[in-house]
Amino acid sequence: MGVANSRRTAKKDRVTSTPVLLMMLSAVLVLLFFLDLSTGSVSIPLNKVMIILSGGKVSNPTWGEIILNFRLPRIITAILAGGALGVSGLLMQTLFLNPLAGPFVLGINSGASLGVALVILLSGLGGFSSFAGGSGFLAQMGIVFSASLGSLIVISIILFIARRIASRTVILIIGIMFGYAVSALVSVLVHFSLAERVQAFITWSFGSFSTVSWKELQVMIPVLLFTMTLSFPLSKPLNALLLGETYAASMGVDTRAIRILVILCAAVLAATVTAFCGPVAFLGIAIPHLGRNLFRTGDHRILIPSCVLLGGSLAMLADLAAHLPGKGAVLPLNALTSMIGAPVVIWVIARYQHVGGK
Amino acid sequence: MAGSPVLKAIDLGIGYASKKGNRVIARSLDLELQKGELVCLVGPNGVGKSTLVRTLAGVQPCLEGKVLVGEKEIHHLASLERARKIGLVLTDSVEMEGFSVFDVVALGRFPHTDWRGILDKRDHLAVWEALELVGALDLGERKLSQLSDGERQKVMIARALAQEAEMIILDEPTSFLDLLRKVEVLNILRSLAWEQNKAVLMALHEIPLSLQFADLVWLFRPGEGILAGTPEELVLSGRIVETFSSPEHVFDPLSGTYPAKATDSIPLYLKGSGPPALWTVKALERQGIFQAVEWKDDPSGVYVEVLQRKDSIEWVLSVKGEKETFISLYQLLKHLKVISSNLQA
Repeated sequence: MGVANSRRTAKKDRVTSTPVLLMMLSAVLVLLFFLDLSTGSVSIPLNKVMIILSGGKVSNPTWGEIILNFRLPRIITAILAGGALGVSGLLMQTLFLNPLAGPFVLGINSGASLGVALVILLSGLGGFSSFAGGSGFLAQMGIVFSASLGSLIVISIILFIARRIASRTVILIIGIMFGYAVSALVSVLVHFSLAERVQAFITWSFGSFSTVSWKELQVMIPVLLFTMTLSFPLSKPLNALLLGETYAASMGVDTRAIRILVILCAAVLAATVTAFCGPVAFLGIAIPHLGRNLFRTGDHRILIPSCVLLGGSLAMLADLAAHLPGKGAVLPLNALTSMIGAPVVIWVIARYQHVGGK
Repeated sequence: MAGSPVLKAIDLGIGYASKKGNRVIARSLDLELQKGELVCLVGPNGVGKSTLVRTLAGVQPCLEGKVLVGEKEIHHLASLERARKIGLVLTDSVEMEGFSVFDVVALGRFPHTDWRGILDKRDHLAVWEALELVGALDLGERKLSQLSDGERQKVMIARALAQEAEMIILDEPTSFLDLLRKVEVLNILRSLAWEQNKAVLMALHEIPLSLQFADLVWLFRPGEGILAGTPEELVLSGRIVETFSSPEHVFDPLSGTYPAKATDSIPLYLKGSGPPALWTVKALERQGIFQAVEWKDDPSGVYVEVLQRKDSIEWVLSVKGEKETFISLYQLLKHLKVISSNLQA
């Protein structure tokens, strides 16, 4: 690329300012929110949706039931899960200095799955009509905890390996292999488990936002909001970490403490989403790249909020698409997030080819 | 140069700590770094230059002894406090997708800004000043990803400067740069030491450059530790030559190369002056068959006269009265090779 050429692209970089973009993204999020609320097996007009949300009564009482007890929790779950996965992916990409890192590709989800499988299949916790129904608060916390522990173990092992092997591609392959190995363990567990528990586990593993009711949200909302809020003050050291650990340390980052905090945040975010919604494919890796490209920056102070907004919007988009067939037919969530995420991953690999060997 | 050192190593042992036991590379090092001086650390590959530099910068633990920053031990300093004392620049060229040069240099303000990293007027000033000092003012708005390796390394030095530390420690920052960029960087570092009164320590691969620029050279000798001295003292004492030579290859500190040994070479009588003659001698040395000696009468000798024409150089070769003129040194060398095999036959 010639100098003149690169200058031109530098100018083209500043088309829209960051605050304007953030506002536009928020607007998109709100728009999708209402659109998602009004569409589904039963179509509910937008004005009626507004009335129901503001506490008013509509002629058709089942509409109120559908909106408040089915769609609203599902959509809130989607927004939170998408945002959490986006932030988790961003944290992992910076932690590993690897554009291909993410909860799904590095096998972090698999770790969470193993934790969940152990709890559900062995102990039968959460009698588990939907993995939601009936189970007590303690059981749910147990599942969140075991999912977090599972993903924490996997992320630590991968990080341990990453510090010895420099090649990003190799790390990625190790992560994927790790995912397979953990899945193998899970399948052994499944093989020896009771049929109805297995059915529940398999449904869970397809990924879904609709299994989460208000009751689960009471756990999910505070955990995710707290962790996402906690990750924001990490922006400054995360920016420094982009130069590598030695540079970061030389500029005053307590790399040890920050690394632990980043791992914890990334693992808790990914694990909580996985525990409640199942392993959601590819969103975590794709969202940060879309954010970087949209905002033309690598600054975490901008990327973290933009990942929350983008993640929420994309997850709702996937949810909308999942309910498109109508008449109560719902497509598996993972099929749709893969369709969004996989092309992004391919694009990233093509783009970062030059760093592949390092 | 009076004043107390800004950095001091006392009985320092460096190396790698591991659970199986520490691997010490060098021990009993006593070193001092003064303000206003450019110190170059030289030594053979693998002697531990990087390890020493990182240990002194506080990003790697000391295995024995201690490193003092002012009065305090470096590992007792909080990381932010250390960052206000020491800036570090490493070898490899970094990539920060989506960051402008200004943003990267502004990272150097890390120990001075609040938790959000918001830059105030003073921070902005420090960043632009740092960019100016390394001669990269015009790069500020560019993206880091669009820069060459040399420009990036200048940016990384500017980032260390923006830290406003009294010391800058560099680990072979010029390794991937061409000679001109190396000299540029060294000039910048020397002016930082001399004009900004910083203490600059730099591990450097190129001995001639360190001899040319350093106020003080730290010569790291395998198994012996560090000898400090002015470049000239270290050359005069023969320690530089000793450190970088092997029985087969003798180091020439002036040229920074290993000239071919002229053992069983044939005398060649050379006439000529100025650069043409000088470079002819060098070419003969490189070929290693003939050795240029002073012109004298020898009927069986080989003679070369170097003639400077208006815009060309001619070499007139005469062997046993037969003369031949060459307009290219390459052709002359080729011909000399033939002659030598005839002489030996």
